[in-house]
Amino acid sequence: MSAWPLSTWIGILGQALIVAALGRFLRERLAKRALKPLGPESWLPTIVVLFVPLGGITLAGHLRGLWGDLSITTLVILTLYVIAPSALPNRPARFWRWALLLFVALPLYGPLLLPIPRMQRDAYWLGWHPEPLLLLLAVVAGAAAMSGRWCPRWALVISAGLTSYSCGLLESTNFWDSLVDPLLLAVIGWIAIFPEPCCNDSKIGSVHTNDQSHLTRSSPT
Amino acid sequence: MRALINSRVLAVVIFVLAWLGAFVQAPRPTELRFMFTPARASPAADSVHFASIDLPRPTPSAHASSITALPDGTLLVAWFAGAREGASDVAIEMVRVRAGTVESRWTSLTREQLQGMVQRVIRSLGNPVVWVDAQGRVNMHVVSVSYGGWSGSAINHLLSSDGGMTWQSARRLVISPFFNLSTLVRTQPIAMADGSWGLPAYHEFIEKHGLFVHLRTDGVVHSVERMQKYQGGWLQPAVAALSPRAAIALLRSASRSTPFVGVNRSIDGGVTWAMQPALDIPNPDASIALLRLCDGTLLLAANPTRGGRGTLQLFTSSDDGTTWSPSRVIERDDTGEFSYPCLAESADGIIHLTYTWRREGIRLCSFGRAWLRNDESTAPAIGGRP
Repeated sequence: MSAWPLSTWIGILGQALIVAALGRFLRERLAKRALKPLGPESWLPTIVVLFVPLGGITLAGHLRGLWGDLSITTLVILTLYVIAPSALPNRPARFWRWALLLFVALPLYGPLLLPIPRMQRDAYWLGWHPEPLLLLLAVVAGAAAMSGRWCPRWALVISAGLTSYSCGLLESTNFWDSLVDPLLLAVIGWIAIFPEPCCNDSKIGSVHTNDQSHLTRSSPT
Repeated sequence: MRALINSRVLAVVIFVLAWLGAFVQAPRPTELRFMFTPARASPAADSVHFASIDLPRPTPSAHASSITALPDGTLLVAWFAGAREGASDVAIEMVRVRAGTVESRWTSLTREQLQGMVQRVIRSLGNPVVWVDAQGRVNMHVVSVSYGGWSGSAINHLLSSDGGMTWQSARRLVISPFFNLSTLVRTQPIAMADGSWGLPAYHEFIEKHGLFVHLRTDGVVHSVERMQKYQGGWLQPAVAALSPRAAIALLRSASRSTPFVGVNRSIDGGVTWAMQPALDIPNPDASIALLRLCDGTLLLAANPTRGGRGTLQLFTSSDDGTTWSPSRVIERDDTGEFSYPCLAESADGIIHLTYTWRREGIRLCSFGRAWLRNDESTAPAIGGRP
């Protein structure tokens, strides 16, 4: 096991976090209240996924075979949800949800899933040559800072993705795969299409000023 | 309030540093060049030698062989074998062949072994591609399926320092954004001048098209370029360098309505690929092999039938793939399947061809350059389709 590269360990950890976060989310929904960080609903499924073998490989291996590895941004968000929910960044505002869907999810996954003609060079191709994407990110970040919408927590989450890309922490060397993945964009799509009435569509620049604020939230992101 | 400001400033600093790190690491455009050897006379130019052997058949079914010449002069052949294609007992079999004799055979990789190495569930294996890098290490790209059929497959890269007996490392090649679904490999990579590699690959989920994967010297994906395609599905590109900057890719048609060999060309080291008129060589839905011989001739192995894979024939081109002349027929039996050819040329100029023999085994043919010239080669040359 020690011979596995770091990317394998990160991939396995991601699967455990998915199940731990799902267990926590479902239990919160059933209890209709927020739970303490790292309750049994988090660590029990984590142990099962990491160590219980099924057909010669752990459950984490089955899940990796099913949907692959998570982006580092998703990994950080799930980690915060499981162990430190109070540190989670706010939900992206409605504008950003739809922007992510229309300008990231659709160009990345649309050509693969929809019967539309594919271009020889698509959005995923940009991930192999990401200078334009990085410049665009810098412009968006600069605009957010100048307009007072700078969100330190989201900045740190994205910084983790950028660091992962520059250090080659994942199996994928495509820039996009460090920042987004189908699971993350599916969740963003879900909350974009089905916003909850209680959801606070705060601006992306808003910051938690109350460490207990997560106790009244009803969903993870 | 001060803590809030500090956290904002700290986040700005961390973001800027992370951004700078990513910007520095981002690959810059470089002028890619293929490893290209100018044409020279073949050491086997006058050889009419021909020999064939059936490789060992440890299982009822065998398919999709790949052959490479090792630095010690032996040949390494790999294929997938088991109860049937896609079965859970399918493993990668290998043999070493020296002077026309099988020196050793072993099961090189099982799905359980690969499963443990990549820590993902593996239901089946397929399409091994073996090649030797500049350090003399055997590399293997192999397709694996975790869930679903071949459309749900992925490519794994393994490295061996003992000629494919054991594998030191395995790494999944991620080249598709949606769960890395449906990326496959079938044909040999070509060397680039800077020591990196160009791996022909393909995608076949919903839409089938060829890919050219530029791998770094350590086997990690550097970039992926998509080949152009005609109407219908086109896959399993086979690539040969024509000059330091130019290459030709021949593709299998996945549709019986376009039963020809597709063509793409690159004139910029594989960065962009442009569709060319398809060859007028019928080859309905069957894998092909392409090799540039040391004398500059292009050699193609295909199934030139109107249906089925009952005929396996060689074609040559001495004008960089513009026109093709039929050469020897290797197998002809309309009731049989002689498919998935792979070509290699050893240092002595002898050409080696492996192919699936009736799905029961793998046959290896070795022949000299002069053997290719037979009566059928005097037939009119076959050009591109308008």
